[in-house]
Amino acid sequence: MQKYICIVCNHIYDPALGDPDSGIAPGTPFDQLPDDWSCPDCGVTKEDFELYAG
Amino acid sequence: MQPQSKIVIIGSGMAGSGLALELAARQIPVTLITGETAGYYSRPLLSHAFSDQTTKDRMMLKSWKDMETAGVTVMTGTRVLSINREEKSVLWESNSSSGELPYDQLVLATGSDALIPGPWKAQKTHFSLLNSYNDLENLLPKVGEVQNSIAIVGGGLIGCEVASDLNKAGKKVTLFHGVDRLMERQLSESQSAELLAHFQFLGIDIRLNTMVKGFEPGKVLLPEGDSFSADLILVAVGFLPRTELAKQAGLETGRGIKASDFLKTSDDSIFAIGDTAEINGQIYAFVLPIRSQVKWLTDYLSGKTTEPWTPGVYPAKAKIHGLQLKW
Repeated sequence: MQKYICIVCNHIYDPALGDPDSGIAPGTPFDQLPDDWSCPDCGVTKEDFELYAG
Repeated sequence: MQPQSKIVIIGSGMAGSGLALELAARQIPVTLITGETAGYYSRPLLSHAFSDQTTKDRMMLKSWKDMETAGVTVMTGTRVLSINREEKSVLWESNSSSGELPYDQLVLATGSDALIPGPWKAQKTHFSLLNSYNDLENLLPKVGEVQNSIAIVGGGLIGCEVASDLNKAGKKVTLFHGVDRLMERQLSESQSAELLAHFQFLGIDIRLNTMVKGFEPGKVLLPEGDSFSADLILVAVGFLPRTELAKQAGLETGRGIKASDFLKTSDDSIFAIGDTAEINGQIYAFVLPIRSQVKWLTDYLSGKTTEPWTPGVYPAKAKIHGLQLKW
């Protein structure tokens, strides 16, 4: 599954890990994150994430 | 090479660089002038870079070369000395040269300095600040050398985030705050109490209702002749929008550079965004509203909207290790 990176703080969303602190289970693809999900490090919304090529 | 662009942005923080990249992505020529030399970095990460050594590298979002590749003309290590509003040009100077750059639209994204209360200015050599990547680079080795304790002056958002991070890095931290609860600007009374209990549980020494009087080398001066010795003293008592350039150009300023809901200053061709912008009396010095301003101004400058910028509701959270704090 594709990783995504925050353009404001370089936080990487890795679907394999999910975001347990926000109640996102491991294995959740980026496009299935709820719309009100925000970057755990800087708080921006999903639209400020882009596909991570690394 | 002489830049061709007619949109000129001053400042390369989240507001300035963010706007430059969004405009460039729409093939709109843009020139970014910045005093910074390191690159475009993520300022919100500054307060979390002590416990995790990889943060410092991660916070560099784009090198200047990356910005140029994205289509932004970048003038680094460059100060803007003045704005000529009649001629619509800025006078700039770098270590190697100087010149005038014309603009059709100018965007002031000059950010903010760390606030230093007047009486402390003369004692500036006795404490550290954490406002920029350079500050962090200077601080990291100093923090590494700390044997005993670190004093933080200021129990607002940044003071508390840094206290949490230095504690996680294994440092003994004492925090001084002038009022009776932590982060009183952001948190409810019960959240402040929760944060206090969390810090005390972790062994962070919190001194509320303690007005710091001043500084001597290695010492925080307290009321009634008391003092506190520390290997490192960090002051985080607020921010000060950088308004000098605007003021000197005769633009209206208050605490920040005054702007309308079209993010326009008192000059129709000059915009203000980010920490420095006081929009209808309000300064929005947080990530989400600044991103919102960047996107709105990109739309406005590319002719995609004629509606004003409207501030939304911006949920925010503090980066405190082991505690979720939202408001």
